[in-house]
Amino acid sequence: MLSTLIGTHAFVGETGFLLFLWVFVELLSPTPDRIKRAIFIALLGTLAFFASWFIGGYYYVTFYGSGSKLLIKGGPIPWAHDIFTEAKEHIFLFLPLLSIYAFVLLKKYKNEILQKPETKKALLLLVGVIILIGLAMAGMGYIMSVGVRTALEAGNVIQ
Amino acid sequence: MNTKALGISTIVSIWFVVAITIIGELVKPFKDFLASLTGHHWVTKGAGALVLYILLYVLLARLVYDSDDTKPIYGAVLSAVAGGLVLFLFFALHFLL
Repeated sequence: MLSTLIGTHAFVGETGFLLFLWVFVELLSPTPDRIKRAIFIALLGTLAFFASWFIGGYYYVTFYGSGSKLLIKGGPIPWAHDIFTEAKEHIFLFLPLLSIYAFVLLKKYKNEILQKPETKKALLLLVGVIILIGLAMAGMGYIMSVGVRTALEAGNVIQ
Repeated sequence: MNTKALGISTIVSIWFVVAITIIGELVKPFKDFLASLTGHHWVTKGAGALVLYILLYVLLARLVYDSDDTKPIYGAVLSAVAGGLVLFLFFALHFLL
């Protein structure tokens, strides 16, 4: 159950990250067809981030505090929770907001992106930040799993 | 949709998350209050940010004239980067000190 939840959360979240990477590539040399595709892909990416939010949130609120958190904090690298879990759970909240904004901008300025380089540049930057935060989420998730693994290797058990 | 209003809502909601997170860590009763609203402080922060995002947009869409000005986009980008760094550094310092 727990592994399935974490796996689904990570899979859906990384799918969102990859979808916005696709949007970024479409925007590099935009054409009307590429913009149309980017709008649809951005919508899917936004839905993926929301799904990842709810799945990861359910795991975090229901299981994390009484399981992995105790293991990590009692293990050799407690900072995996105190710094990385704490930062990840809050910075993640930016992603759904930014992705809705990117989707709406793409939809509204589909013509301006083709005509105005400054609009395209600003959108590329916004999508780039979404990609970077998505990558950071994956990296921080990895550090959390290292925290659990090192705690188990050290023989830490939840009392 | 009014993209200028949505940009401002994005910026304000990001800093709302940063502010209530840091205040919650520094003032325990405030974190307890956040938890009491939904059962978990993180749920309150997420739901609060989303509700603020929507309500602020609805309000600003009536007050702000839309334009294709790129300033709100850069503002959202800078807020996401700076807000993320502030949160990461805060938790790092909170652990180390």
